[in-house]
Order: sequence, then C-alpha cells, then structure tokens
Amino acid sequence: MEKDLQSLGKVLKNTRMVDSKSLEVHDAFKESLREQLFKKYIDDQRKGGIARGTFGSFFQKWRILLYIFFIVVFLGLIGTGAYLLTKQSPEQTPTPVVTQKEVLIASNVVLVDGDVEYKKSDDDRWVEVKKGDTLKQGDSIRTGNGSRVVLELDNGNAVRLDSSSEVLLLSMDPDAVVIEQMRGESYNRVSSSKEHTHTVKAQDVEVEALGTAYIVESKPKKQKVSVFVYESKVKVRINGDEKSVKELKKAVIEVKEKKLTILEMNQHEYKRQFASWNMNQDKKMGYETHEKVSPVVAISSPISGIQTEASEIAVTGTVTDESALKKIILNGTIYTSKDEYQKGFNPVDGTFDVTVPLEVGENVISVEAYDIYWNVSDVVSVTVTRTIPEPVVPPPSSEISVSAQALGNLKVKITITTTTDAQNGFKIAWSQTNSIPKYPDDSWTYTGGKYGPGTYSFEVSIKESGTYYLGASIWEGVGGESGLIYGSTGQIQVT
Amino acid sequence: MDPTLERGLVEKAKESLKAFDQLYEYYLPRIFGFVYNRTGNKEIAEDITSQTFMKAMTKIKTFTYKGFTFGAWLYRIAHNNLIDFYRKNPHQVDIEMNRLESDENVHNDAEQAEKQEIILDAIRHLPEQYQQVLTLKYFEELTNEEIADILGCKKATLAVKLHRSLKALKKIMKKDGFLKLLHLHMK
Repeated sequence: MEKDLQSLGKVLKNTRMVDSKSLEVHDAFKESLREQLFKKYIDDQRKGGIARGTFGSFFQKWRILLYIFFIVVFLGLIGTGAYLLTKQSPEQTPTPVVTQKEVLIASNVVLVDGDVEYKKSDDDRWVEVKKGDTLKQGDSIRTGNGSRVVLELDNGNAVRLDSSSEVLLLSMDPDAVVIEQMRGESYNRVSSSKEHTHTVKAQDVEVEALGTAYIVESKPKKQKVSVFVYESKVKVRINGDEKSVKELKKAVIEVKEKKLTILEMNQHEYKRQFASWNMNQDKKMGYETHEKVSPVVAISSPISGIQTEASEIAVTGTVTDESALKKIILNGTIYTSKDEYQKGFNPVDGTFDVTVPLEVGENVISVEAYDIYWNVSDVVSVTVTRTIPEPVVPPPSSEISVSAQALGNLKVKITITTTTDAQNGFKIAWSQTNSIPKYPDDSWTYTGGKYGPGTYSFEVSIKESGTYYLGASIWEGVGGESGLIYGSTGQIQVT
Repeated sequence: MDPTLERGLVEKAKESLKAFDQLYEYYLPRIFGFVYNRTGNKEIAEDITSQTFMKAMTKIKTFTYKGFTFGAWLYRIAHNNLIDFYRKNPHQVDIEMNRLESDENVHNDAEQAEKQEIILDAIRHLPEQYQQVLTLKYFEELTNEEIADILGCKKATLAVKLHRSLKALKKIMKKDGFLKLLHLHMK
C-alpha cells in the first residue's frame, strides 16, 4: 500500500507540466503584467492610496498605542513597576508612520521666477508658490506665461519647469519617483543611481532615467511629446515599446499613432534658451556641464596670399578641441567624414583635406568647425589668387598686316594685306582688352572665300561703342588652326 | 528566497514599487508554473497569475506575518483564484491543454502529454484541499514546511493530509480506470 502511494507520488512528479523553479515566463506576458501593475500602482497613488495607507498606518499606530496603554494599566494594577514601563514605552513606540515619512521624499521650491502656483493633493485651489515652499506626493505645480520654477527633490534631483507648464508629483517614492507632466516643458536633472529611477509621464509616454539630464516637452493639443537628452541616456516607453535615447539625440513621439522616432538633436534645440539656462543652473548645483571651449582650426595648406594658375586647390589642416568634433564648414559646404579618397573631414583626428575650385582672381577660403556640443570655432580664412597664364602667342607674322578705320554707326573698315594664300579666308576678331584679338576667344567674324596674295578690305559691325583692338588671321579650315599667321591693329575708337 | 530578505522586501514593497518588482520577478514563474501545472492551459494560467499579482499589489499594505510567509500568501491567493475560476467556469474543467513554447519547460512527447492530461483529470476529481496538497508537493516540489505554511496547518497535520490525498487519488484512478490508462499496476 505504502509502496503504491510512493510510486504514485513519483508518477505525479514525473508528469508535471513545468518546473516552476526554473521556468522562464514568456517575456511579452511578463512585461505586459509588469506594466499593468505599474499602472495600478500609479492609479492607486492618484486615488489617494497613500493617503489611505497613511490613515491605516496612523490607525495601526493608535491601536498599538492603545494596547500599550492597557498593558501599562494592567501592569500598574498588579503593581509591577509602572516606572519601568514608562521608561520602556518610548522604545516600544511603533514605527510604521515614521518609516513612511522617511520613505516619501519631498520637493522644495528653490527658485520662483514669475507667476507660479501649486495645488495640494487634498485641495482643489491653486495657491501662489513662494521660494522655500515644500511640495509632497500628490501635489501639483504650474507656471504662468514667461515664468519658471525650480524644484529640488530630497534625493538631490531637480525638476525645472519652463513657461506655461504643469506637473503632478505622482510618486515620491525614493526608489521610483514619478512626475506626471500635464503640459509644457520640464528639465530633469537626475543624479546617477542604479537603484533609484526618475520617470516623467507625459500623455501615454514614459521617460525613465537613471542618471541624466533631459527635457520633456508635452503638447497635449498636438498629441505630441518630445524628449531631448543632454547627458547620458533615457528610456522612452509608449504602448509597451521601449527605446533608449542617447545623449544629444531626441525622441519624437506621435502619441495618437504611438510612433516613436529617434533623431539627432539640432543646434537650435541644443542651444535654445531653456536648455542653456538649465545648464547654468546645473553648474550652480555643482554638476559638471558640457565644456564650452570652442574648437581651433589651423589651415596648413595653402598659405594665405599665394598665387596659382590652377583651377582648383587642396585645402588641408587640423581642428583641435577638448571634446569630440562634429563637423567643419568649408566655404559653405558641410563635411562630417572623409570619403574613400581620404577627402573631407575626419571628426576623430580632426584632419581635413578638401579640394576647392578656384575662380580667376582672388579666392577667400574659410573654414569653421563645430564640436558635438555645438561650440563653434573662429572662422579661419586664407586667400588664394588664381592668375591666368600668359597666352603663348607667336609673334605677329610678316606675311599679313592689318589696319582699321572707324566708319561710324558701329562700323569698322578692316584692311588685310597678305603675301601668302588664304585658301579658306580670314577670321577677323576684336576685343576691348586683348591687344591681339584671336579667334575663337574674342568676338569674331569670318570672311569666307579664297584669297591669293594681295590687299582686301572688309566691313565689320560691332555691337557696342568703345575702344577696340582688331586682328585678322588666315584660317586653315575645319580641323586646322587659325592664328599662326596673324596681324593686329592698334586701338580703334568705335562709335 | 531568503526569509529575512523577503521580509524586508515585503515591508518595503508596501510603499515601494521597486521592492514589489523584486518580489514579482522572483515569484512570477513560481505562481505561473503553479497555475499552469494545475490547468495545463497557458491563457488561463496567465489570467489567473495576473489576477493574483494585481490582488497582491492591492492587499500588500494589509499583509502581516502571522504564521505564514509572503510566498505562502501568494500561493493562497493563486489557489483561491483557481477555485473561483473553476466555480465560475464549470465547463472549463475539460479545457484543452496547450503547451508553452519553450522547449526547456515542456516534455514534448505525445505519450507524456497524454499522461499529464490523465493525471490532471484525475486530480480535478479530488476535493480542493487534496488537489492543493498534491500539486504543491509533487508539481511545485515545495517542502512540507512551506506547504504547511500555505495551508495554514501544522507539519504533522500536513503529513496526514498528504497521505490521505495520495490515497484518494489512487482510489479515483483505480475506480475510473486511470491506472489502466497509465499502465500502472496497483493493488
């Protein structure tokens, strides 16, 4: 009989479905239930769970005190050392309420700028806030237009509200502070801690930090929440989706669509007034803020003032800075990396090598650099002058001579005397600057025809009045050259 | 979990979400496994596990150590939820078993599955208290002390209950032909 029962026990053991002690619960279920519990906790807090808890604890305290009282009386009645009991009683004082008071942290108003009001958890009225006021769990605070307020929490963290913002101190549990942001912008400076979380809830979005600085911007009307991370990283959650947002990035959440996008924070967002103000506040609190030192640009080549006939030039140099570099802007073009030919800008070692096209005349090449904290260098410039190479022109030929005469009405009579054949005619060219006008660089016309040695006159129409040089050359035809046999006039005033 | 550590966590969890989360992390697989071993159905096990933890969160403020541990208290809630579930859904007694996805957790062969169904079916024919004693002892492999804690009885009483539960199970299995199905030969 006993043996049967023992073997039945073994059968039971061997046929169980799972081993609960080593079971791994499905993550989706685990996280979903965790979220439900979190929401329930928050809801209970909002409904005054803590208040009830407090009352319960008080009740418990008084009940215990009552017991102690009866014991004291009883012991007094039987004559056993009431004196001893009264000495002991302080030690026997129950501690739950004290414990709770120690557990919940408070938030102190340390700076008020403009119109700021707060509302206690058990009161519907908004009251003006003064520096030194203390807010507790369940209290709300709001700023008017153009106003700001700074709250310092007992745990050393800070919450700063910008203009037209409102938050509710949902949970002041030192292990898990939860701030519900109704609207506006809050900057959260959270001390580094692995044990204590700091969460901002805005609409359906939760932003949790361990040790960081970030701004949460909530626009309920647009159903949009933006999170700007200035230091370390935060976790952003919506609808069970969690993403980590790192320093100098921003998360944009379309609440209705439950869409979370992570982007680079731009210069305007990083440097905007509320952010800069907060960084100064952080500095006052003793936090190390991002360095403000600007990068330094040095152009090693070309040397300023040089002349070149080249149509482009390689500009090389180095950027140095205390922190990591972001980009250079060279003549208006942004470079953030080097290409396969090692051209561009390397933010890691700060070197740059960029080929710049040159215009004829003076070229100013300017370089400025940014580090990751958007500190910008001075603009460093070099000047390069591109010169035109002197044209290699053979001396005027003795086989052709040219003279010209202004006829008025923008017409010029040009007379060409040649001692050689012009099988394909003449190219006649004119210019106001070039003393030996040539086809095809200057304005030109073509006589056509075939000419033997002799003197020939042609009438040329010029579009604008002015002082012109004229020249003529024998054209060798298509594929041939023009200009080896040429002649030119002096300056002619064309009217 | 170390009793002193658990006690400290429970006190903290009355005011701290984080402490509650640590208890959740430890007990979730145990409670889920306990319910799953009783029902053989993942969805129902998830529902009852959820109800158990939601209730625990609501009631933890009133929880005091009066002869049983926090773990025992959780198992009690889970057990009561199970009983409630079967009372409200009598037709669910013959629920179809479904398997967890993880290979590590389940013996997947068909013969084993069949055995599990037969055993579970037989257990469901027992009085509630016997069901609880057997599953805690043989499915959850809790110590007699822990089970006595959950049931709120003395260790000596538990030994008697355990014996009676096995006897009752054997009787049912014999009577309803379960032993034959399992190819077991008992007198």
